Amino acid sequence: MGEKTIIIKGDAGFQMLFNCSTVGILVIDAVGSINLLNPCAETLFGYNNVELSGQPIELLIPENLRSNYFQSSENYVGRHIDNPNSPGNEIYARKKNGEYFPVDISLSHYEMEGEWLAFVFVNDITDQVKTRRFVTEREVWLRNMVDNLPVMVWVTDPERRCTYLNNTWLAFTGNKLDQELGNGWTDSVCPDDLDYCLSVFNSAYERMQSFTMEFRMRHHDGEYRWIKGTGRPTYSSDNVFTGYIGSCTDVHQHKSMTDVLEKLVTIRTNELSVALQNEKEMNDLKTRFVSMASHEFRTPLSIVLSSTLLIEQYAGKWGDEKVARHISKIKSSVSNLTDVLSDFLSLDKLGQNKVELEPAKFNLKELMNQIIEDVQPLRKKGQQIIFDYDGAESIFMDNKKLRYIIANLISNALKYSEENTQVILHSIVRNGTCFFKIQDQGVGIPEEDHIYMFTEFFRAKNASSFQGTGLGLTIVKRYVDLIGGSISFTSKLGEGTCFNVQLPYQEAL
Amino acid sequence: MKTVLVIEDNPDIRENTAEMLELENFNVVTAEDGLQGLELALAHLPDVILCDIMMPKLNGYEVLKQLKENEATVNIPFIFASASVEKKEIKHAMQLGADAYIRKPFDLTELMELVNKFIDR
Repeated sequence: MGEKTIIIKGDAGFQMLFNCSTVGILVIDAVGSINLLNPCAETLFGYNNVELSGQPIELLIPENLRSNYFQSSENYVGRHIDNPNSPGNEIYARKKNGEYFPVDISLSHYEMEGEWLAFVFVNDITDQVKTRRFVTEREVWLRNMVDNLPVMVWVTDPERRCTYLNNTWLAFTGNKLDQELGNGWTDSVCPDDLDYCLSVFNSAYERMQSFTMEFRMRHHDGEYRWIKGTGRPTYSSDNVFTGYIGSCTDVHQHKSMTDVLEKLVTIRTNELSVALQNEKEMNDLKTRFVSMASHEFRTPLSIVLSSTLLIEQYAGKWGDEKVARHISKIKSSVSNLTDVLSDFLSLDKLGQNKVELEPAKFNLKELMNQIIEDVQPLRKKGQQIIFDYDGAESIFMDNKKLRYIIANLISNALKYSEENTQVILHSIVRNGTCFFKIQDQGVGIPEEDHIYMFTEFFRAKNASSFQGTGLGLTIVKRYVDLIGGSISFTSKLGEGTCFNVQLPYQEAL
Repeated sequence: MKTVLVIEDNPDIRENTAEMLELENFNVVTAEDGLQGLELALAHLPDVILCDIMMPKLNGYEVLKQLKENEATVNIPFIFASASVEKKEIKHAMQLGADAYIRKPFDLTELMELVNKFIDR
């Protein structure tokens, strides 16, 4: 023992190396007894030379692992050499205070004067083990995460071979990983889509571009389902191309739904165009009918009217009042019917947007007086029209449409009022706007009917006993809109109705 | 006595119109189609012509065109009477050189006002 110490001491350089080494060094003999340890080993194990000298090496090995780890110092070493980097199989050493710590051990031995001796180099690898564990844990965590992502994940190498597929992928195809790796995955692609799939994949590879595609892939139940796949090139930290990573999502339901919807849209569009065509044909028919009716009704009406006028002429000579009364009825009926025909025609033209404004210069006050003159025959006994006019007289506007609007509103006012009532026609014409107020003391319009008053063919509930088609106000409203004005009314049942019309005009010089 | 030529294919309207005008002391000549109308216009050189548009053989537009081409008839006042209320028809008629347009059915006052407007009595 002492001799060996002297031998080492004999070499001053070696002694220094031994003392200053940051590796723990133990010298043991053939039976595993410790002969010597350097300062670093003393620090590592917490023993000093005196305490350990002659002690068996097992003292430095955890108690519960002694029998498992080795029977002798040679096994201790041999085991380590067999598994130099096996993670999780770290070799542990025991400190004096009973603590364990992972170590890295290497050994060299020699024989001296027939005695077998060994140098055991011991490194504390606590830090490395910690790091390694951390890395391993992270990797497991990451792999778990990728494996359990709700999308299928794939990875390929620079040679376009598949190197990784996550569990979601395998769960979809029902295949084992080794069936799918390399080019195996192409077996799951629907044969009809394979060429397309590969061409997208290959051309993306050639240009190192990202790609997205839709193709069908065989589900483990045998059904081909629509998959939306994306991929993008990957690069290492030093910017070397490492292949592609991508994901695939089952979009079958979505895609099927889209297909169904598209088909539905096509069907509906067709139905709609048929309906539109029918509508157009119906409209054409209506227009032809209205036009024909208007013409064909006017011819017999012409005869009725002219014959009546002739009867009037002859009868007038004989002076029969009863005949005159009936002639007057025929004349006003013909006139009503002619007006209705005109309304039909006007509405049809309005519906086809064929009505245009025809502005002309005229005297508005004169026009109003004319209208009042024209509606005189409609006045009931004791009915009065009170007319006032304030403002510009010579204006530029569509006088025919204006005449229709005002005449219609005054006719209505008279028609829906009793005998001995007043109709007030109030007009203010200035600053580019003519304002008309037509107020009656008539039957009024039921509240619930107000919103329908401008709807074609609509008649208020209390209007059924009055003759009318329900077209007049509709045409009035359309004309007002055409001129760019506005119309509104207030009405109280049994008290009367008041229409307000505002129309823009240009002053005529 | 002033002469009015009435060109109208519908016999009832033709007769009634003629009768009304006669009652108002006009001399009335009637034609039952456009062709006859043209002939009578040239033969009688009336003071005013009242003419339907849609007629067999020769329609109202054609009658007007030919009358306007003839030196003898170019200045005779020409009034269209039609059951049609199509704006474009009225426009067309006026463009061809008609002096007025009356819409059927017309009443006596309307007709007389118009006819008298073109006749210097």
